[in-house]
This record gives sequence, structure tokens and C-alpha cells, in this order.
Amino acid sequence: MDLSTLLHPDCTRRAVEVTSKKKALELLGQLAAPRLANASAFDVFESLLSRERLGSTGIGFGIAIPHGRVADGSKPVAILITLADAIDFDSIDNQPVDIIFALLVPESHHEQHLHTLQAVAQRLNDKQCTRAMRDAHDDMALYQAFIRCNS
Amino acid sequence: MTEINGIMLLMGALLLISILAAAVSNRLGAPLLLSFLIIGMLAGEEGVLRIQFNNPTVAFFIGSLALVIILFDGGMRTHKERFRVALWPAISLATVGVALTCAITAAAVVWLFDLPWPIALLIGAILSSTDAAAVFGIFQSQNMRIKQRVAATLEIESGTNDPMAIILTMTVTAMIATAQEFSWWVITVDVLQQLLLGLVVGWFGGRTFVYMARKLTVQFSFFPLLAAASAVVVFALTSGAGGSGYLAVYLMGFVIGNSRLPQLMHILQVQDGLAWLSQIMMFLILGLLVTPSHLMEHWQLSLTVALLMIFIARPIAVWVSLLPFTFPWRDQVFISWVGLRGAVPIILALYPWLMNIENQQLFFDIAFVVVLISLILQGWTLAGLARWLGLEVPPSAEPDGRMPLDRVSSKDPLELFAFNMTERSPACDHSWNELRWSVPVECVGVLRAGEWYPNHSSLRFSDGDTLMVVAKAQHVDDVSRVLAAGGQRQTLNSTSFFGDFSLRGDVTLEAVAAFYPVGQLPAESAHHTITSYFDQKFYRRVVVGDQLKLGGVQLTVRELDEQSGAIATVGVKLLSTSNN
Repeated sequence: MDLSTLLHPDCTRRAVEVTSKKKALELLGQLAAPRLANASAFDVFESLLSRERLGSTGIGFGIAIPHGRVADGSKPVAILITLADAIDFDSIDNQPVDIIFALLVPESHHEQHLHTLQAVAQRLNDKQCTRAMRDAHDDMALYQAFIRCNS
Repeated sequence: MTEINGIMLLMGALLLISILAAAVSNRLGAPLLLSFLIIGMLAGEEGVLRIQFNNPTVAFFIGSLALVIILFDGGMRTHKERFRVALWPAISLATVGVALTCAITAAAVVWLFDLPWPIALLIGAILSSTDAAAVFGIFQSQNMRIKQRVAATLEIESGTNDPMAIILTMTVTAMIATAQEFSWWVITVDVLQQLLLGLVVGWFGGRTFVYMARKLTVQFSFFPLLAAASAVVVFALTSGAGGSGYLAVYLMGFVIGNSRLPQLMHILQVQDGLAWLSQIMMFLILGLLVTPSHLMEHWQLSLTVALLMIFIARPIAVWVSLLPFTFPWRDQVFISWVGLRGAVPIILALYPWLMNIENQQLFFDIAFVVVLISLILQGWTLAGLARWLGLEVPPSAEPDGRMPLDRVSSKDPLELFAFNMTERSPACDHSWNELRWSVPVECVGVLRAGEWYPNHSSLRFSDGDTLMVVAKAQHVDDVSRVLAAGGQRQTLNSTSFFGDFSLRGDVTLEAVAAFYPVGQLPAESAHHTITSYFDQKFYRRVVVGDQLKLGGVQLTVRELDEQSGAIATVGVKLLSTSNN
């Protein structure tokens, strides 16, 4: 799966100001909804939240990869944000999170795209990559930093 | 005077060579104990130095004393938490298993070689104890961790089956020596008496020592010696009263090791050295005592007994002993194979020799050959087997250095941990202020290029720094999770083993199915939580690293709740499917 076709520059935001995990998920919903045919911002928020209830998607190293399913009718959507101030995310290493990559997958394509998640996790496990992302000056630079990361 | 000098030179040199040899054999993956034994043989009457040593009484004395120290040390290192999954299986192995191994071996020897029953039983009893120290030494030298269900079972088994084998040997020997009529009744009563007395005195001895250590004010360095001396006293008292002294010191060690005594870390450090010294001495002296050319006299009998125990008696005994506990087959295969024989059988074989039983040398020679074969054949293959059976788990995060602050008296023992920062540590690129903690911990500075920076609060940690923190010893895991490097160099790395994502243990399989392709769930398991599903599949003895496949995903137990043993988190890993 080529990650650059999945993530659009419009869905990339740098140094976002959010104060809690819930606020962050709400923001992800707002960013994703315009690109989804049959899902509102609230649907996205609820899907992501119900996944978090099973256990945090914070994989450590300040990174979280929330994911969820949405109604069929559009392509999968990815959102990438970095936060101005790290927030608590109940991560596996207990540390606050400042890089969030969210993936929303239509129900019928659900299984194939779970492998995309693993590719994303692998990419974000690379310290050079996350350093470049944290150092990005604007949204476009963040987008480029992520796309240029080689895994 | 010159004679004394000569003996000292000899003893010192042998010890020195053994320790140097340990470094070499570690690199070869060979069991350490084997190299000590061989050095002893090389120094012996038919080796290079041609030392004449033929005194079983001295060897027995040194061997027994060494065993007391080793078992005491083993008891102190047995954590209470391990009992949850392994106590009863291990006790079953140490009782039923030992009796079965002994009986099967004896029956086969009677049948194949036409020896009288008491002699055959004595051979079986002498050889029925296993040695876990050898096993864990090998894992440690390879930086390998295996599943706790297997590790704890082997460990507790070997601690408890030595007393059992010793009791059996002594009883049968006494019976042969006094030409008593052979009676199962006498054996049973004797065994029970030994066990009971051993348990009572050992527990009492442990409690007394803990009480004493809390009240006593002596020089700090005396505590480890006090512990060792108390163990020897408890051993001698129990044996004198007709109980099993070995069981008593093992239990005493266990009570002390789980007491949260402030001096415990110091005691353990010194004990570690003492236990190694004991191992080396014991194997050296046994290597010296043996006459290698005699070993070949009964080679048919020895070889048969060795193969019998490894391939028939032990597997059957393990299978029967573990029957009530339904262990996974991989665990059973491994436990069967790792019935490694250590020094105990050789020392036990001295007992008939001391009692002047007919054919006294026979037992010693057989025991020696069996131990040699076991150490070589099983010792060299067990790391590979553990990997092949999938029993390896990623090593948990831990500090690169630990210094107990045991001279400062606090309610809970404190420690100073040192962590070498790498890019694989979650704390890398962060400063101390940015880290969050679930347990109390304080940073005492950063070492950068050898320079100490106590004023660290805004310093960003980077590759090559060493971070020093103080926390309670019991919180070592919580602290290490944030500061230690997550195994890049290790053979098995956490992410590839557990998967990237984790789920809580108390969610239902149905809920998991909403996000991951777990396939068709059978109606009765849909309402199971992950915990109850694993409990059902692993018969309530779930350990970290246990895996279950569900459709296209693999769930791996990642963390357990320490108190209840329930699953805290499992890792989810997607198995590669054909459509990718």
C-alpha cells in the first residue's frame, strides 16, 4: 500500500492545539468528514472512540494510531496531525502523545487496510522520521516529511 | 610449610582456571558445569596434574555444604508470583515425577540387566533429581527468556526434587546397608516424616532469621554471612532431627527472599558469589574424585540408564505428573527434555560408597556417566529447542545498572537505576519535565561524555547519555518501560512479537470482531472476554507470551495483572493474508 495516495495534504495539520484525547478525536472527525460520503464528523468520532475503549492505540514514543470503520461509499481516509502540546493518551509507555495518525476505512475494505496500519506503525517507529515530522514548520512540510520517510 | 603452600597454590590455580574457562564456555554455549567437571578430571589422577584424591568423605562433606548454599540461594530467588502458575505442577513433578522416574528406571534395569530390585531402585533414586541452575545459566548466557509457565515449573521442580531424591536415596541405602527387608511402608513413612520436618523447621528458620535481621544491629557486611551460617545451622538441626535439611534450607531461603528485608539485595549479591563458588568447588572435587578409566567398566549399563532416563522415564514421568494440569504440549516436550542432571546425583552416589555397600563404585560410575551425557546432550540443545518450540519471549525492559540503596533504611527498599539512552528509548529526545510517571521516581542527573549534569530539568536526553534515577525497587518495571531501550539488539523484539496495537483483557471477543478480522466466532465464545477465553484455552495458567490465533489475527498476552493474574493487555498482530 502506497501511503502517499492515502494521505492528502488537506488532511495534514501541524502544531494543533488540543487539550485532551477526546478533543483530539473530535478534531480528527471534523477533518475526515468532508472526505467521507456517508459519515458525519460525529460518526467518525464515535468509531475512533469505541476502538479506544478496547485499549489505547498509543503505541509509545509519543505516537498514536487511532483507527475505525465508517459506512461504505468512499475511499479510505488518513489524517495526520502533530500537537503543539503533547496530551495524555493512555499509551503503552504511559507517555503523552504528540503525533497522531488516524485511518478510517469503509466497512467492506476493512481487512486489507489493517495491513496499512502496520506499515504506518513501522514508519513511525523510525526515529529519523518522527524527528523530521516534529521539526516541520508548516502543514506542507509535515506532509512532505511523512511521505519522504522511507520504510 | 612448603606442603601447605603447594596445596594453596593448587586450590587457587584450579579456581582461577575454572573461572577463566567459564568465560570461554559461555561463548561456546556449553554448560558451565561441564567445564568445571572436565577441569577437575584433567587435574585428577589420570589427567595432566595427576593429583591423587580418593576420599569420598571429604567430597561428600564439600558437596553437601555446597548443596546447602545452592539450594538456599535458589529458594531466595524463587518469587512468590511464580507460584501462581507453577507451584502445584512443580510439586507434582517433584513427588510423583521423581517416584515414577525412579521406578521406571529401576524396572528397566531389573529387566534388562537382571540386577536385584533394591540396587536398581537405588540407581533410580540417585539419578532422579534435576538441576535447573544449569538450565538457567545457559539461557542467561544467551540473553534469552522463556515463558514463565515453563521456567517457573522447572525452577521450583528442581528446588523441591533434590530433597525428594536425597530422601529416597538415603532411605534405600539404609535399607540395603542394614539388610532390612524391603518394605514400601517404611519408605513412605520415612519420606513423609522427612518432608514434614523439613517444611516446619525451614519455615520457622526463615521467619526467625527475618525477625532477627530486623532487630539486630551489626556491621552491614555481616548479614549475608549471617544468612549463610543460619542456613547451615538449620540444615544440620533438621537433618539431625530426622527431617530433610535440604528442603528446610530451600524453604528458609524462600521465606527470606520474599520478606522485603532491607538487607536482601546485599544478601543476594553475596549469595550469588557463594553459590557460584559452591558450584565450582563441587564439580571440581567430583571431577578430581572420579577415575576416568573406571567409567568405562560399566559403560553398557551407564549408557542404557542415561538413554532410558532421557528418552523414556522422564517423558513418561512428566506426562503423568502434568496430566491434572493440562499443560500445552510444547511446554511438556520442553520440560521432558530439560530433565538436566547436575551435581546432585554424583553426590548422592557417594552415599552408598560411604555406607560401604557392595558394588559401591558402580553407583558412582553410573551417576557420573549419566550426568556427563545429560549435560552434553541436553545442555547443548536446550536453547535451540526452546526457540524451535516457540517458548522464547522478548526480554522485559530493565535498567542497565542497579544499585540498591540498602544502607538507607526506608519502609520499601530503594534503588538507584542507570539507563543508557538510545533512540529506542521512549524518553529519548525528551527532557525530564516532559515525562509522566505512574510511580514515584526522581532523577539524580545525567551523565554525558562522562560528565555529571545534576541540573537536568531542561536537558534533552540523547543517544549516549546515561540517566540515573532513584525509585522503589518494586517499581523497576514501571520505570524501565519509559527509560530502557526497547530491544533493538535483542534476538526477539517486542513489536514484532506482540504486534503494534494492544487491547485490554476485559473486552469481549465480539467487540474485537468489530475492528479486526477475527473470523467467524463460535456462538459460545462471542461473549467471552479476552481474559476468560485465554483462561479457558490455557486452563487458567496464562503467562506472558501465550498466543491464540483468531481468524486473521494473532493475540499475544502482553501484560498480566500482578495481583490477580488476569490479563491486563494483549497485543494484536495481523497475520499476512493471501489478498495482500
